[in-house]
Amino acid sequence: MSANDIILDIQDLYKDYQLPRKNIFGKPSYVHAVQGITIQLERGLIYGLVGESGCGKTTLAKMIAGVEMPTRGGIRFDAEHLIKCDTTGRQRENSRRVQLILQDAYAALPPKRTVEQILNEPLEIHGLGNAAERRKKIEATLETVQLPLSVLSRYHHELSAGVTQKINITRALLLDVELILADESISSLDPISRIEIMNLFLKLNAQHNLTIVFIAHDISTVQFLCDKVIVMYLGVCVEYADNPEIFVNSMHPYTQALMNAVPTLEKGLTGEPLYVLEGEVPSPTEMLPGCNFYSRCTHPARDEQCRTRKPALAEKRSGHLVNCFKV
Amino acid sequence: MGSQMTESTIQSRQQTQRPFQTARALFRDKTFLISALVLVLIVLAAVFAPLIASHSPDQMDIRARLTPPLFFGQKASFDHLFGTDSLGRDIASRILFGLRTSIMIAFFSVMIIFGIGIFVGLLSGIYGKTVDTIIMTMTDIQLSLPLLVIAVILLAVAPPTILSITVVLGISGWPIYARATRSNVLRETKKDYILAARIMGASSFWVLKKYFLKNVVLSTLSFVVLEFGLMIVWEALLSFIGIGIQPPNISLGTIMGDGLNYLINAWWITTIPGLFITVITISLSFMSRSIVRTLSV
Repeated sequence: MSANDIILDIQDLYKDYQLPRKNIFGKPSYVHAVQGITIQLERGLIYGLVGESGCGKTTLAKMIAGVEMPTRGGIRFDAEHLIKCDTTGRQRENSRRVQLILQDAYAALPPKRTVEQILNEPLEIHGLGNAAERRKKIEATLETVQLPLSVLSRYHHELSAGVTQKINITRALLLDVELILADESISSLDPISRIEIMNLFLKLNAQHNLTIVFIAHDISTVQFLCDKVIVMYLGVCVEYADNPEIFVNSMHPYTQALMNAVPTLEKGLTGEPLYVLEGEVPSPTEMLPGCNFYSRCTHPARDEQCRTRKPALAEKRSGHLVNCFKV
Repeated sequence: MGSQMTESTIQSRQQTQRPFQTARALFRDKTFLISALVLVLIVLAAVFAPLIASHSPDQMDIRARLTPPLFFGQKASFDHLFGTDSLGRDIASRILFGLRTSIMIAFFSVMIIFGIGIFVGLLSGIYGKTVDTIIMTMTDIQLSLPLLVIAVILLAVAPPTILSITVVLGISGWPIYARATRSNVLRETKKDYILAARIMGASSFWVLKKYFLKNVVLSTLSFVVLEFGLMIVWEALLSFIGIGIQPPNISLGTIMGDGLNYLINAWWITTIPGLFITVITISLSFMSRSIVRTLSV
């Protein structure tokens, strides 16, 4: 793995959101959404980003897409190109490389506009081409995502959820990006549109060498789609490994619990309820001194060290990184 | 299924793609049409006042003083349709010339109100934080004072000319519209499609131009119409109590003020300009209601 292969290099990234103060002189409190993530993504792979709701997946994606500013840390794009955390001009430049596809496909499209008008917008923003060139580009991209040209005259509220999501993907592709972040893009779709979108991602990945970060909480789609998987818990990355490896040899207690919670036919036949993690996710308004998973951890060797010191993501096996003292 | 889809496509395109469609729907509304016609007539009469007026507005005729309007007494004559005031000046001619001042002041003050209101509201909604806090505090302060108090204070400082009254009325009305625009913008900026535009690399200005301006202008259109009537009333009120338009300038308010001492003997001096104001405001409020109905359907 040479340095050139790394498309995105995230170094020690933090994001705190300030909560409204209780009174003007009160101390502000913060939500620590992302608490120190260091990770490298290789070009041309499909990544799965897994974790429960509120664990910071979307915040991480927004920071990579450049619409949220990190509190601390840096994001390097393409090894040499450093994405600074504070300039507004960055967003324009950044948007030609990274696009984030939002969760709610309908809400992400502006109301009262035809698909053609919507698809023209990214090209307009970046001042690309004249009317004829834009039209040609849009037609070509629609062919890639296998949508008929007839959608151009439609309004997006007339279209099915699957087609609407494809319009969102088309809009991102129009800017010739190298990295696409798909935030729960298929969770609200029916199984057939779901497979269609997943196949589209696979095709884009194979034909255009597009790097895709696929954010999901559905393990089975991640198993189907992704080359590598990142598991997040409460703002930190707890485990990072290749696709079958992470599910077959889960090492972090949280990943193991997550795997146990996947309903399968065999588990169903035993008639016993599935194992569920006990307790609640700690409030992200407090920075815990030790491991973020300490309060719910069922590892037999859990001890004082886990409570008072933060573990770091370390390679426990070749290409398998785990954020735990005890494995 | 296929034909249904095409039908609904055609329908929604008609609703959204053609602004003229909306205008045509408005004029098909009888209430709107009649109100608009009445207003156009009044405005035309004001514009062509020098051609229409039978007398000069300042021409005094002591022998014909306090002539009642036509059909309201033996002294009434065709020479003075709406009668004369205490100096024998022709009320009809005075109203024609007074309308010019009143309409002009109302028009420009409404421009100022909505110009400042929409601009400041957009600023406040889009930039948020410190800008928003400062602007909203300013609107709070101004809204806590009654308009009349502000107007009296300002007109005590600045001499009451047509310009200063326009400006005073203009700056006294903007806070409500700044707030309305701001809340409009805030409600929209929370939506995903704005975030999506930012992800695509759009600047705040692009978002403003593309998504907000038309919406905001359309949604305030009905208020513009209402506010116009209100400004005519305010101007008349200020002139009536003597801190507005000063002689020799004439407005509807000054004519009404002239009749103040003759209310019992010569009711027409105050009543007839008042009727004009009533007709104007009622027409405007009918129009405003039609606009709301047409735009929301």
